[in-house]
Amino acid sequence: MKKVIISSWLILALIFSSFTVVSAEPSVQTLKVGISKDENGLNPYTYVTGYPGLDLVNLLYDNLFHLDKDNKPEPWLVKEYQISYDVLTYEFKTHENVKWHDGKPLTSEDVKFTIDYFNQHPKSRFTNPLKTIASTTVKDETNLTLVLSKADPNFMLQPLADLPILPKHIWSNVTNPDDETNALGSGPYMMVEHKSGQYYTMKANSDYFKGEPPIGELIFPIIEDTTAMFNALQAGEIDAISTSISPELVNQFESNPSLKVARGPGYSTTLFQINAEKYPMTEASFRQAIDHAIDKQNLVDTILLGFAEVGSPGFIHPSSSYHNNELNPVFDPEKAKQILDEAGFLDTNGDGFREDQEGKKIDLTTLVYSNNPIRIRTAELVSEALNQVGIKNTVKAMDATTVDSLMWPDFDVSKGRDFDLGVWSWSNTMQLFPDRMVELFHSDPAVGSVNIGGYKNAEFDQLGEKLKNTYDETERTNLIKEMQAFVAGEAPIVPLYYQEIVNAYNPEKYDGFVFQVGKGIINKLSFVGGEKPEEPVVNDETDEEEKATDKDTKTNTDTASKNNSGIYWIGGIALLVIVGYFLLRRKKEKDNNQDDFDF
Amino acid sequence: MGKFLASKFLQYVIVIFLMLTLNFLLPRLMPGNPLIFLAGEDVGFMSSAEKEAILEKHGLNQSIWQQYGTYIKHIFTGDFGYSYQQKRPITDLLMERLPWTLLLTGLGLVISTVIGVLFGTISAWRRGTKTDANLLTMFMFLSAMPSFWVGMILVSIFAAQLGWFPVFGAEAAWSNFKGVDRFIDIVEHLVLPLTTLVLISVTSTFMIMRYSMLNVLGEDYIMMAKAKGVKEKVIKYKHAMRNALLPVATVFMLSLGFTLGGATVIETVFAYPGVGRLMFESVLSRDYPLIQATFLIITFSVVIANFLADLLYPLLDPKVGK
Amino acid sequence: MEKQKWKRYWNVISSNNLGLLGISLLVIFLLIALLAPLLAPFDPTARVGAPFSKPNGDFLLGTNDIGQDILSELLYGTRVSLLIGILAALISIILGCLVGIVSGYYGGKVDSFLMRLVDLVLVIPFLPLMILLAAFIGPSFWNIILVISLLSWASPARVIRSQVLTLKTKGYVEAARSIGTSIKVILFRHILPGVIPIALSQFVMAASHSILIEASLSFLGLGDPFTKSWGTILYYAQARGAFLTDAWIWWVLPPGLLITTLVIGFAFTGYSLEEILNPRLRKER
Repeated sequence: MKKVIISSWLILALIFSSFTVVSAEPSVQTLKVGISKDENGLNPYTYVTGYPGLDLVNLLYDNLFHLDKDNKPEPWLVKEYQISYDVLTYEFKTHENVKWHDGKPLTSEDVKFTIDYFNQHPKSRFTNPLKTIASTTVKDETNLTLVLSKADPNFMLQPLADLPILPKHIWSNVTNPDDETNALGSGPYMMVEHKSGQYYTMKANSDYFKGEPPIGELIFPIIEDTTAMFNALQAGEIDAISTSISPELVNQFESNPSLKVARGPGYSTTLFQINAEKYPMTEASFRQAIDHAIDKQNLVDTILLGFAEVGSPGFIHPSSSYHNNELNPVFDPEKAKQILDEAGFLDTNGDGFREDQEGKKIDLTTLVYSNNPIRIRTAELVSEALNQVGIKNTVKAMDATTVDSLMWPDFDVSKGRDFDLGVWSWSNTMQLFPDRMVELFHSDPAVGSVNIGGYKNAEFDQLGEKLKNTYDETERTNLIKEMQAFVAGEAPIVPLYYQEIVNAYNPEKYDGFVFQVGKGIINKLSFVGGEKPEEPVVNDETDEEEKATDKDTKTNTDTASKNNSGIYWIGGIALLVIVGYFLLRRKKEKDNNQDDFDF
Repeated sequence: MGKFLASKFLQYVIVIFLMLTLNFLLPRLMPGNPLIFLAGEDVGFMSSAEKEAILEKHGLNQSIWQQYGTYIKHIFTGDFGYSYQQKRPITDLLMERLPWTLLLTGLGLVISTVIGVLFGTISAWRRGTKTDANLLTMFMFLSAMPSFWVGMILVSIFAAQLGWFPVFGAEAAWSNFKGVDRFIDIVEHLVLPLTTLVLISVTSTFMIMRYSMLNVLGEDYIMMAKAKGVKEKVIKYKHAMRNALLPVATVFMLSLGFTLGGATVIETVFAYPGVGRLMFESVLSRDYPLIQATFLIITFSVVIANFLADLLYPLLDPKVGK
Repeated sequence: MEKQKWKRYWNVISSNNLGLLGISLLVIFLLIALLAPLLAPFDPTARVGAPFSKPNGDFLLGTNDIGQDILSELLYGTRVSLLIGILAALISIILGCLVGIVSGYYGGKVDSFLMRLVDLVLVIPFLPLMILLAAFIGPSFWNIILVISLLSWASPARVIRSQVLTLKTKGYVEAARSIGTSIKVILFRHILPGVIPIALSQFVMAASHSILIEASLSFLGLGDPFTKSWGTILYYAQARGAFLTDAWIWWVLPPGLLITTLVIGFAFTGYSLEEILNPRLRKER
């Protein structure tokens, strides 16, 4: 069923990806989008989270390229570009009429300055991808050439579609960017106010080079408690939220006539992390048994109520073009037992749990964040499954920072690790850049910077090295597929699921949201005018119905929330009347000495 | 008398010093460090040199003694430093949160004291009657409910379902309301959290007042006044209530000390921007300077309130003063 | 003589409606806790139904987020919540008695040192210490009890100290001291019996507080998510959206009401105990 929905999503997305020009009048006065955390200053150095923090930054700043809703880079500030055959020289021509929020023109000088500045003042996300740039040459105001020291297959994604361009006339005076508070960019919106812990306001940049943005004023109230956030959306106090709706509430939101739900695959990966450095997890057979013991489909059905994709054993999300289709999730407890038996993990003392190959007791601990009930439940079910095949383990929930300090001390894999098993999760960037597979499993800490399980295998390292020096797209895809097959067989991690992203918003207020795969509706494309996909959000079959009801209710736009309370009033009064009626009836019946109640 | 106060004062200074040290040690004893909150999500892709630079910038690679020295020095200069996570001066953060916390918990304390005193007097006066029993049962029932549960049920019914009150926050700040409109907006946001706070905290004042009133009513001079035929109202309010208020006043002073700490649970339920919530988050994010500052404020105000209560007690109660 | 005294207490309690109600509530909960396996239709840890089921014939209060029967969870939860309340209160009262008696009886430097310690504990911010301990040893059933009792012995200690001070001036204690009776005998014969009734009422109050504290800690996510207390049930209900759907009627109201009822049971009992101890309150007007 789930698969059907996703594939229909993809097909529809293809059909509707034809572009039309939407006339750019500021159709919406104010839009309130709830976010769950304060993001500090919204400039490229001080924002906090990758989502939605960086997406808010991108409303204020522009990049040379921008990821479209399928995460393919498309030109943004760049008007025309040429790439040499050896993929080393990039020539750009940027749009002429781009202005900073203070009216000064954005030129190639600013682009060059940005590259230099990030090299001088490192901010790892933006600085690291700049390392391959050998030279930056400004030809004139709009023409610019970049020469790379060696080809970089991800160059279009990062830095080109990721690096926000900074205004030279402002940042050239900034010596300590981490404490910088200004957020003056060239983007479709301008920063108006930030009240820490309370809200951000932005207003439309009417001079924007892609046309005036569709929303006059954007307000981002900060609501840390998710229940309060959902309540506020339902009560009409805010019009959209950045947080994905929890699985148990999707039906509730879908049946709410004043809200529209946009669903799609999420790229955040929840997995079962194994410490491959510690015996018995050093044994491939032991890890394979763990993989076979866990029923991933059951996790998706029970905990996420189906709003997730079952984890692919090779880590890469099935909707990614790099996904290895030949790999299927495994679940076979009998096979798990058989593998353990054959490898010599037997229950020699008859306590119901297996001892290791030398007859010593195995008693493992599964770590999980205590602030995340879905992950706690996941850990509970996984732990139960392992106990059932005879791998003794208990779940321990601890606060996030503590778990991090055990599984990934100082966020530096070279500092070792102190755990057995754990429920872990990687954010969506890991799926956006499939070659991060290398960083996940390479044995050298300098390369495998997120190999938190300490997995070591020379064969995989070789594949990684090979990928680094491969530039041909099909060859790269094949290598990544090979790596997935390798990971699936070795099971240094067990991918459990990719939780679906479910966004909800009030279409009466604004219906121009664009669902970016793996991310959701809070992205730049949702808030700019000009070119837009004709059908911004397509979820599933119920969508058409929803639209019909939308039209019907269109007349009472602004009084919607008030009418709601009216409905409750009427409901309450009706209830009183009904109760009163029954009481009266009962009394009457009593008076008539009729004892037979027939309801 | 002076000697007594001097020794009390010294004792409180020692308590404060111990608390300061505890405030410093507690966060550092917690496992895990604030690196991810300092560096953001990119921390996994940083080189160790970059991470080292961040730690150095915040003085976190110094020895624990050096850090302690700086900490004490900063307290005396009133410099709370920067919040790791919010990257803003802590004084600013506190100044933003304190008014809301004072509004909520301060007003809550005053209202629940007034209600508690009033009903406590009535209850004691009508000792043994049905009114007394009903009041007693009702107030004990109130204090038996978990605060977050009351709060969430109030939100569900009055905010989410009926839409009479806003569901979150202290004001719709982005609306730029002025004057009366702003006042109304703030009151609307305050009603539910304040109600919750009063509901769960009113009982202690009620019980203390009732207890103390019963004690006073048993005193000889009240008996005598009754025998002399003094009017009931005069006995009740002039003689009994005034004397019975003493323990309530002490408790009020002590609770005053805790108001600055806010009410973490209620602030969480209503997403109210108070100090209690700030403290809770600072602990979760290992925001050392912020933890220290919020604890410091709470400790100071509690200790000062205690000291004031010691000072005031003899003034209020002639029996102790002699 | 002792027996008569207790009998008199019982007479007062049973003649007092609130006290009787309180004690019967506690007895009922005790019975539920003991008989949970007989009363509960299911094993509370077994996933017996579809997640988020509404109440129906099989599951009177529906199922929780992973399909466990909520009614069975609640019945078994009585054990945990009651145990947390009683154990935490017990530890804190024993600590409080120890500190209170030593402090009150010996006086002087010991007294002022211990009372400063009490002052210190009374101003320690509760929450961070809880997180700290939970982080160190992981949030577990015992740690929650430990934290609650470590932070709530201070005010009983004060109350007990003042009772000891009063007892010390009583004629028979002074007499015993003047004829050189050993400290041990004085403490156990004369002081302790005078302290026990107060300690008992403090215990009952502490138990009701502990239950509420446990619920609040669980709500903030600082409890042990694998111990099925009423607080934990509320945590999952809250975290999995029960407040936003109709589920609050069967998933949120019942545990909250149970907590309230149990706490009231303790509070009523404690209140009538206090009435017994303060004869003046008992005097008819």
